[in-house]
Amino acid sequence: MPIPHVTLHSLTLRALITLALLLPPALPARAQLQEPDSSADEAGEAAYLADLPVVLSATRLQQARADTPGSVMVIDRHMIRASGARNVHELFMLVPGFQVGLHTGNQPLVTYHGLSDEAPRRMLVQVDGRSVYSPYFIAGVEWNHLGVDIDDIERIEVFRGSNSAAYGSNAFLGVANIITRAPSETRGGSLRYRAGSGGVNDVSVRLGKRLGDVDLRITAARNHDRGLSAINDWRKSELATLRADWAINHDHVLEFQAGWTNNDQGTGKDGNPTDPERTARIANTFGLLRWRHAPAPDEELSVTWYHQEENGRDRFALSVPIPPRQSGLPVTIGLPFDFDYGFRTVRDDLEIQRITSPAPNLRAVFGAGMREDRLDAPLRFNSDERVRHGVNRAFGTLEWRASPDWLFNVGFMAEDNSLTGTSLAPRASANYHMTENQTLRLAINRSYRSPTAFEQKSSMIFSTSAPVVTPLMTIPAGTPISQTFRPSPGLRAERITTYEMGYLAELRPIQASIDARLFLERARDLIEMRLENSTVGLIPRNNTRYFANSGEADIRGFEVLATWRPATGTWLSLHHTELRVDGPGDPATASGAQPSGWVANSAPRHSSGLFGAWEFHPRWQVSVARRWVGGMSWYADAEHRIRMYRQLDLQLSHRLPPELLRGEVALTARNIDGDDETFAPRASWWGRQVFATLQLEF
Amino acid sequence: MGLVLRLLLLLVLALGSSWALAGQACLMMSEEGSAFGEAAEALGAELRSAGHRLQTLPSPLRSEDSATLNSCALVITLGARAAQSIAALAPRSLVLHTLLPRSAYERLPQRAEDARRVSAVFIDQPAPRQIELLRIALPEWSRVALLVGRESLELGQRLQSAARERRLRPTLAQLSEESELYPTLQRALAEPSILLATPDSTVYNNRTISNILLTAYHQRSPVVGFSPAYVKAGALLALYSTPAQVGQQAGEAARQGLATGALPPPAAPRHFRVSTNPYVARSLGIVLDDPSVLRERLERAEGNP
Repeated sequence: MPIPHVTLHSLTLRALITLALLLPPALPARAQLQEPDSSADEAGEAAYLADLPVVLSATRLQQARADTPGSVMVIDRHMIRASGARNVHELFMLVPGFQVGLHTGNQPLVTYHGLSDEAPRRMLVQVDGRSVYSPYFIAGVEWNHLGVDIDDIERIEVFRGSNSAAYGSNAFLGVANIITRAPSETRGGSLRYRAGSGGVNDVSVRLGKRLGDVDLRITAARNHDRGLSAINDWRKSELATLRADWAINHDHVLEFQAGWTNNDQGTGKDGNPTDPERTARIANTFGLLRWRHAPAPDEELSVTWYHQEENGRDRFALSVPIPPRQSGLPVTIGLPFDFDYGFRTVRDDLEIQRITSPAPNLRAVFGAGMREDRLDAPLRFNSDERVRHGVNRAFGTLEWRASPDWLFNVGFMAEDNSLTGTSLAPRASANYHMTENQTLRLAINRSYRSPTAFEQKSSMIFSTSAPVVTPLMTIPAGTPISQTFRPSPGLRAERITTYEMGYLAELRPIQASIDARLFLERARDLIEMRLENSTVGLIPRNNTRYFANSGEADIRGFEVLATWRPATGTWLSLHHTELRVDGPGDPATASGAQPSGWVANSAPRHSSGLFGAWEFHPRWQVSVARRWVGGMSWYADAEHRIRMYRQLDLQLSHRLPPELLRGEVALTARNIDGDDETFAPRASWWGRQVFATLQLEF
Repeated sequence: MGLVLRLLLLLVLALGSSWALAGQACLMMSEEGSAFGEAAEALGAELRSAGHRLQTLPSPLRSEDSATLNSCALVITLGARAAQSIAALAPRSLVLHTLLPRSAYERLPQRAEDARRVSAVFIDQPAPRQIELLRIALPEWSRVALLVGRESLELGQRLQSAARERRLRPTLAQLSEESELYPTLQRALAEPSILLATPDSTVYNNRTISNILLTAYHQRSPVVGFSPAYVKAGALLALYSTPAQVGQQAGEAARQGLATGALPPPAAPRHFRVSTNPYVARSLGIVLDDPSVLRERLERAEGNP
């Protein structure tokens, strides 16, 4: 009888063992859960007592619009995306007072309040504090070499009006500060592909990661398009950037940026004897190192150094036919030339800046910096010697909150420029907060633009590359034939004095704002390109160019921008600008290349814009941008005046359902209401472009 | 005779010292640090004013200290680690845990009979007080975003219901791993909301704080923190009690315990502070009252003088 009992017992035991074998994976886990938290710090008081790094330091914070010493428009990430812009320069069409045109598809023209030609050079653009104002030639901002992918931009702060006191010479008519996203915000991966009409074929990839205390972001992109129709202006631009922010400890951050851009582009015109269709290449590399010590929200010390190098390659050999009329010979002869527009420029810039709050109602920013540009461009300077251009600077700004109603801002920039000597750019403004929502601003400032090395030292003399036998003589190789630019020693900095009255209403209950600016900008000593007779070379010219401080302009008008933004993805903004640019009545000299009144044509009298986006359904957004641009001339005279034109952009975008994929698809149609001449009559047409974009995040 | 007298004297001294020990409070700190020192100082000052002595116990406790522990009438712990080691020893004396969050206190092993002997003064603020501050400081804001991990889910739910009671519109998003942080934040702050930070090291830590503050700032959303470090880092405001405030309240509870033999029930800190970051406020276009005004209004709302 005991046997069954034993059997039963062993069965029970076996069952228990089997159960035990099944259970172990679950049991310890449960046991762990029931245990008190092993690490007291995890759930303890540490979080309440621990220190944290200063994340929103003074330079990261956007100054309240009601406190700025001028009108600032902010283009944020959502607006950039809704605009459908592939390139940063296109965004300035959204800003009142700006003119944006296309010389060719790969040569954008952007200026504020006119005073421009085919190489606008009177505004400044900075990317995270790195100036992208070209140190070579006369081209101002290098829009193709900003070294930033448009999707890495957090916001662009556009300061409308001159501001040398804060940003030095070159901040002559306006300043745009491009602020890229912190790498801590772009962790993970992102892939973008865009294709459409006109050869649009863009691809980009971004990877963000945190390694220890370092936040990293790597972006690589390649954009391609065929440019405008009927001209050789295709573009393939490549970009690779790296940003690494190392939080050394709570107070110290080291930021490192490096980048490379390469632009292969079509240039020249079919049938032009000295400017044939060809491919040019410009490559750019940069590195930036910034150490930032921010022990408190309004206390910051930073040291920034950046280095950039640019290499241009544009070389072609040609035999240029010289008709008897020019040479005085009985027959047309062909002169061989080796056109080498190649160049190399190097820029180094070092700056130290301190932000401090000496009293609760006072805030000060001051610092000093030095910059040196070194240029090798033998054809442009007719010399194999390196051209050096240095600027040392000291600056300071004091913001005094005198009372809840009144805020005063005074600032200065002193510069010592190796080309033009010293200058002092002061600024003063008073902001009166009439009510909690309304601010009235009065500001006055003096700003400068120093001539570029090219403007002062250019000497372009074309010489033969091989001996030529003519019926009368033999022209040996290296004989100077013609001079197109001659040096302009003694060129001074241009100066501008701005008087402005601003009004800002921020009506928060209805989520609307109105920003108006009434201004008088008096520009003097404007550098103009002039023509003269030249006897340098075998073939005399009557149109050798040089530069002189002969221009002046009085710009007056007003801008108004009204925005209603009830939600992050829904807004409507309207802007209108009235401008009058007056120049001297008579040409300064009889041989003036820029005839009297050129400044008057340099900006449209009236221009308006509308920009809206509507998130009509969760994750679905439609956006529209419409522009009306009055007649103007980029080419300094009435003959090249383009007529008023309109442009319309539309975009439909859909944020993918996150359970399926993270990302966005968009269909964009730009300038769909017909082709426009935005540069000069019969030169080029800005046509429509339709493309689709797929962006995936992982 | 001399010997007898000497023995008597020794006896009296021994008895005297044990009587003195009977009224003595012992303190165990989780670690040496300025915050703990500040709390201990406030606590000691409060006890000394009532004539009590405070003896510091080493942490971790050595075996030879167990006798000292047994002779304490009241054991006070500062911080969660000290609370855990004392709770594990389960002394027969009164025990007052302080400078620890309520959640850490609730996780301590407790026996039914402890209820009368064991109490606490927490470091964290009660949910209704946090929500009331949002109403007072940011009356135009109704959206409140809460981002919680597994640890802080319960706290998040308490805040959520407190917010609902106050007719705010709270949204609660739970994270299971750090990689979800950015997309979750983007969703939670798709429309500008107050981001009310909760102490959960899986969500809010040194690695994530820059991401959180920047994302919130770019979404035009103010962050409300639970320590002055948050305000320094870039939060709009923070509500917290200083270690000294917590220490003083613990001292008062300890005095009561020593005098009556019973501790007051576990309580949140009575006194608190509000810090604001005027630069962030201005940049976000938010008009904020002075921190002292906010504190007074919050005290009045709670019915405190």
